[in-house]
Amino acid sequence: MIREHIKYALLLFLIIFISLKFSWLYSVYNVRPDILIVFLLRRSFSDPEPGKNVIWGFSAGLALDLVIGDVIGISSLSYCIVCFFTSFYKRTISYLPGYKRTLVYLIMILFSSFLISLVTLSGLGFFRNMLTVVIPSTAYTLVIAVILHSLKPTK
Amino acid sequence: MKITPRHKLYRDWIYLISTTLISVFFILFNESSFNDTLSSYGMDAFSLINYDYFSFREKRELENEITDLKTRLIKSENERIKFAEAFDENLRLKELLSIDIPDSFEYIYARLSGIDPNSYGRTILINAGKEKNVNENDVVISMNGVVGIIINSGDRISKVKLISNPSNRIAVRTQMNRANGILIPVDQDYASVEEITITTEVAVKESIFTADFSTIYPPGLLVGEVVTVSDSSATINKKIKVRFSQKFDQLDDVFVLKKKAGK
Repeated sequence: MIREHIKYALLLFLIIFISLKFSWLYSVYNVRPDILIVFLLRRSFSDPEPGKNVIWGFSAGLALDLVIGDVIGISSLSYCIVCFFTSFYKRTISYLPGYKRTLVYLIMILFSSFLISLVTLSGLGFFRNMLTVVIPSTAYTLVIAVILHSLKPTK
Repeated sequence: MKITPRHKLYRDWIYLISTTLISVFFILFNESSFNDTLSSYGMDAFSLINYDYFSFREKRELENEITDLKTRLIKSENERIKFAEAFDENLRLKELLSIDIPDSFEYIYARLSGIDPNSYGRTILINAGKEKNVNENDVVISMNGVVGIIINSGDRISKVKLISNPSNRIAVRTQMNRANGILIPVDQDYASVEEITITTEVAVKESIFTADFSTIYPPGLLVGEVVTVSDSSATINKKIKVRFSQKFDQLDDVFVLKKKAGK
């Protein structure tokens, strides 16, 4: 059990490091996918325990915020909420069809992007924010999530 | 269908509420020294594993870079000699007229060590911190112009808020008429300049510099270039769109400006 947690913590740590150092490699017109949320959501699907996943989402978000965040606490807030509700939804279901899973990914990623951009990009217009940042980054993150799921499906 | 025990459900909700409250606390007290201290610990931890993974370069590329730098150095040296005399004369005249002598700066070299991984991020990390005397509110520039301002510094790593951050409002001036305005970032590449009246002449491709009275940015730093100018009869101000001179996704080498002590 503890070994599992350490392994997952190391994975999250590696993802944060890669996204900080090498995100420019996969950036398209300044749009970058949120890889961290993809892995947090995968965990929420495969091990749907809301309490545990809230802690994972909060810790990963806070670590990211402390290193580079403009507003400390915003990533931890959005990640803990999406992890909680994904696990909460999945906890009673043993099998989730592909389209429903994609829909959950879409809703959660969109919510997270929306919440973070609402705070960090508050100086910009709402519709401009949505069109130039939130929707493109959600689409890119969703594509990554779907590709990862088809390569290595979770429960 | 699995059923979760009630006590477990309550425990999960308590976890969510607690983490949410802690996050909200952090957000509300974003400018507090507690958050700054935590952030500098985060950056110190990151500095332990930070390494320039792309430092290896081909010999040919390095040779080309050295040739280019030598050419630029000789050009700059010639120009410097020409300007030095005029500058000295200007200082002497200012002294005679009791006008404030401009501040002089030293440049601390740094490299990019991390970019905010999210699309909505407008912060970067550079590999210079308190060990190199880099502190909060120091201005960061590059060869192409202003990059941003240090918002938090650890021992070896500092966090820079880019000039394109939408929360910024920067006092700027135009090149030709020295008209002052306020620069408001629109996205990663563009900003608008407001408060310049329609009677002031502003041309496309004119450079925009930091204003002389800015309390944060030293005067005369290149910010961007005018892309479009439009006069609307409905307002008394021009609508000016500016492109930042620095492409923030192509940043590599930067300099931190430090005011020289005693000047």
